[in-house]
Amino acid sequence: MLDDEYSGFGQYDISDKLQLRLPKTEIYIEIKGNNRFSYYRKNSEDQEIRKTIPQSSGKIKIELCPVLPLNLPAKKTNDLIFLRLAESIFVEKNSKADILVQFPIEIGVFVVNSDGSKDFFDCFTCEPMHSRFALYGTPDNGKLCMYGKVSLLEESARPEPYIFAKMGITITNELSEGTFVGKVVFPVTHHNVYYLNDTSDAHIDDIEAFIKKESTLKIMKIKHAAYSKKDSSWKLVPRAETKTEKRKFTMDRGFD
Amino acid sequence: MSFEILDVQIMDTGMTVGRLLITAIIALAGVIIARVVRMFFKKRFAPNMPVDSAKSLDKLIYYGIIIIFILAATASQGIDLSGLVVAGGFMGIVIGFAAQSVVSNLISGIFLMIEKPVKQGNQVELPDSNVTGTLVDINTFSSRIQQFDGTVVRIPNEKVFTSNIRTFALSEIRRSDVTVGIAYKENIKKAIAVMKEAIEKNVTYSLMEPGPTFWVTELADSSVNIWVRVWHPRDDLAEVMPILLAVIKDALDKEGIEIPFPQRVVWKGNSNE
Repeated sequence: MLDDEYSGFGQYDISDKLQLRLPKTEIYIEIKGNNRFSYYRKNSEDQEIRKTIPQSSGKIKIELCPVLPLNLPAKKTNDLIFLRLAESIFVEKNSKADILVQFPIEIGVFVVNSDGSKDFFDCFTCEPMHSRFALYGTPDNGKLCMYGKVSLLEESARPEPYIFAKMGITITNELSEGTFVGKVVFPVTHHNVYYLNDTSDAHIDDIEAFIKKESTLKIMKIKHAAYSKKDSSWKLVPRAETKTEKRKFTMDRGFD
Repeated sequence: MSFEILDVQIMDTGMTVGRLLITAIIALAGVIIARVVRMFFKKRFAPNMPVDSAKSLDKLIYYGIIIIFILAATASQGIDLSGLVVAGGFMGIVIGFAAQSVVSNLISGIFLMIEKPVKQGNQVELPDSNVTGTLVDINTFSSRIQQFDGTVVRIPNEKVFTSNIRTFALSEIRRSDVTVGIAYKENIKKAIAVMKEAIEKNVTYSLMEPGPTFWVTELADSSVNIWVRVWHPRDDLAEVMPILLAVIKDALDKEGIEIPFPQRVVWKGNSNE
C-alpha cells in the first residue's frame, strides 16, 4: 500500500521526465538535449543536489529502494549498527523471545544499466535525525557505530514508511536469571534488504541473539539469520556497499 | 683500442675501470628495479594496507632491494668491503662527534618507527612545539606534520621522540567542550534541555551515545556557566566545533533564554556635589 502521494520503491523508466516525491524529499529527473539526463534532489532543509547522467540511448532506468544505513552523514563505521530499543525487553531465564523492531534505512537510487547491472548513484535519508553515530563501549576502547533509536513493532504494524524497515530479533536467554536487553549491536553489511514493489514496505535480514555467561561476564552473541518469511513478491535490493564476510559479533560491553 | 681503458687499474687496488663500471651498472639496475617494485607495491598493495604500515614497508622494499643489488654487485666483482668497514668504524667515531644531532635524529626516527607512539595519518599535538595537525611522514631525520591550515611543519625526530605527544589515535571518538553562560534568572534545567535537544538535532556528528553532557561549572560574575561536552568521531572536529556554539546560541535565543555579557555602569560625577 502506498502512502498518500509518495512514490513507491521500484524501477522507473524515464524517457522524458520523472518526479519522485518522498517525505521531506523531492527528486526530478529530466532529459536535457539528446544525450544527458539531469538529476535534481531537494530536501526539506532546501539542500539541493544536482547530478548529470550522460545517456546516448535517450532513455534511462533507475531503481529507488531502501539501503543499509551506513552512508549518512558520512561513511565512518566499518559495518556496525547500534539499535537502542525505545523500551527495554525483559527476557525470562532459559527462555526465547521473538520480537519485531524498526530498522533505520536510507534511500538509495541506482542506475540500471542496459545489461541489467546496477550502479549506486545517490543516497539520502527522509529523516536526518536517524542518521547519527554512537559508541559501543567506553571512549578508550569502544567501537563507533551507526545509531538508530527504534521501537518494537507488532506483527501487523507497519514501520514509519521510508524511514524504517522491519527486522526480526530472536533473543535466547541461556542464563538462569531473567535479564534486560536495551540495545543490540551487530555488523550489518552482509544483511540483505528487501522491498515490495510500488510500496514503502521494506524488510532486512533478521538476527538471533544468545545471552550467555563467560566467566562472570554476561555477554550477548549476535548471529545473522536470513529473512525466511519472505515470499517471491519481495525484491532483493542491490548492494550499495561492499559485502563483508559473514561473522558473529559478541556484545561483551553490556546490552542493557 | 678504446676498450683498453676498461682494464686500467685504479690506484693499484686491483680494481679496474671495467669492474667499477659493471658494479655501477648493477647498482643502477638495482635502483631501477627498486623503483619499479615500489611503484607496483604502491598501486597494487599499499591502498589496501594501513597508511603507516604501507609507508614503512615501501621504504623497506625500496632500500632493501638497492642494498641487495649493491652487495651483489660488489661481491660479483670481487670488491672487498672489509677495508671500508674498518675505515667506516673510524670515520663513524669522527662523524659521530661531529654530527651528534644528526645521529640522534636518525636513532630517534628508528625508535619512532619501532615504538609507534603515533602512526602516519594520525592527528597529533606536540604541546612543547605548539604544533597540531596530521602526521604525514616519519623520515630518516625528521617528521612532517601537516597543520590544519595546510602548512607542513618539519620537526627533527629527536624532538618528536623526546616531546610529550598528544594524540587521539587510540580512541575512535573524541570530545569537544565549550562553555556557555546563562543569566542568573534563567531556569538551568530548561536551558540544558534546550541545548541538548538543539545539539542532538543539528550537530549531525555529535554522538547520541554517549550523548552531550552539561556541567554547571561556575557561578560567575555575570552568568551561570555551563560546560557543554560533546563526543564525536575522532577526525570530525571541523564538523562540530564551528557550529556548536552557533547552534546553542540560536536555540537559547529562540527560547528567550538570556546569554548575559559583562556590563559596566559608569556614573558621571557631578562637579557641583
